[in-house]
Amino acid sequence: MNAPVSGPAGRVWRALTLPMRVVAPIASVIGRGFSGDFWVDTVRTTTAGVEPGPDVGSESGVAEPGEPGAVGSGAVGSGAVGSDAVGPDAVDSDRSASGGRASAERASAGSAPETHDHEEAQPPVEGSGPVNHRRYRVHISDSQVRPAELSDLFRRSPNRFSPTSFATFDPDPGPDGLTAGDEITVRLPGPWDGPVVVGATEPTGLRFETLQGHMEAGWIEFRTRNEDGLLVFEIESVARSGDAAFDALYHPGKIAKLVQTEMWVRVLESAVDISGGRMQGRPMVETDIHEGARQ
Amino acid sequence: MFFPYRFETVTKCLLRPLGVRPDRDGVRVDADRLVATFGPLHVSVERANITSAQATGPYRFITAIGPRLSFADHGLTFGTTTRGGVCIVFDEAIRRVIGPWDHPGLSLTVEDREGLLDALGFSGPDRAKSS
Repeated sequence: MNAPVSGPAGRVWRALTLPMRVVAPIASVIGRGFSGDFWVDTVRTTTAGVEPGPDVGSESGVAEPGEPGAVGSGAVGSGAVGSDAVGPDAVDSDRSASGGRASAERASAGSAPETHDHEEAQPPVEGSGPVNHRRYRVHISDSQVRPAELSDLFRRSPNRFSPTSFATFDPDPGPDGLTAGDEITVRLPGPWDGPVVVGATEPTGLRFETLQGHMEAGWIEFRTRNEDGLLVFEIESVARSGDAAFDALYHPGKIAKLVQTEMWVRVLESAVDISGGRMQGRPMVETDIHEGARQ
Repeated sequence: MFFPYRFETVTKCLLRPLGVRPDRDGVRVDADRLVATFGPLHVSVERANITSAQATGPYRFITAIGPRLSFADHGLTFGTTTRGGVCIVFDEAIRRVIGPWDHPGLSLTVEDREGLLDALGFSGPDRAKSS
């Protein structure tokens, strides 16, 4: 049965299931400890405000489940993709070395490329705390769909990909799917919701930009592509926390980062299921925290 | 490129409770980075930090299976078989994954040892990169 998402029925449903939705992401993370479905998160922190150093970095650690963030590319689908890591929370000091130096610069500067012209837009510069550039990626073998088809499925029905036990896209898009300028809210079981505007769509990608009231200030992109005969589904975001309270939950508290990672990794896992293929390796998360951009 | 580990029936059963999954864990090598996962553990290192790699083994069961730390050289092993693996040496030791010491080397018991050596650029007779 599909839970109601939009309108009064959706509001009633969310109110009634609030306790379960609050617990759901943590229960899901704990469940990974039993199932072995860990993700890999490589975390690098830079203190420079502009450019992470080129030093050789190595990250390793124990998986713990989670966190999110993001940086990006210019147009949707053209992003420089970086490297990665597993499990959750391998925290290290360090610098970004691989892909997307220009992206890192943008992230540090707190600016998003091609921001959609929306009067309620909440770009990174309006946020609080460091800029978080995060990339989540999964490699899919034996996919039954092509990259553009998988992107189209996401654009038409994001709730098929979302862990609706605790996060839903409200409202469900119309028959034509999400198009540039559409406003949609990611409903979460907390004091913040996630209103976004669709900033751009391309055959193999889609970008959301945050609006006032969102827990974060920035943007996030969803992209698909072929790579060495595999289908790659990738999510990339560049954002600051929307306010100091959320930043406290995100960085020192880490709970917001954990829930964010759980949510987007679940989206990656759903993409694998929907593609009809098999996951190759583990979901990879790469997090660059640009402390120098802290306000 | 992705290189899964080589498992034996007994090691598959022994490592499953640790979260190690034959269908998920392995070594991914891309243009500039190597990422090895082993259940909840992982290593992510830039390829520029790898100075040499060579096929090694076979190993003794007691010293090879599971996540292992060498007390002799502080090297790390993600071991799934006694038949052999690839030993990678780093220029700069990677941050500790288990135990109190950083790791100057990493041994990975992948199914396709030659493939991993090729992917890392150490397939010739001289398997140390001069830098």
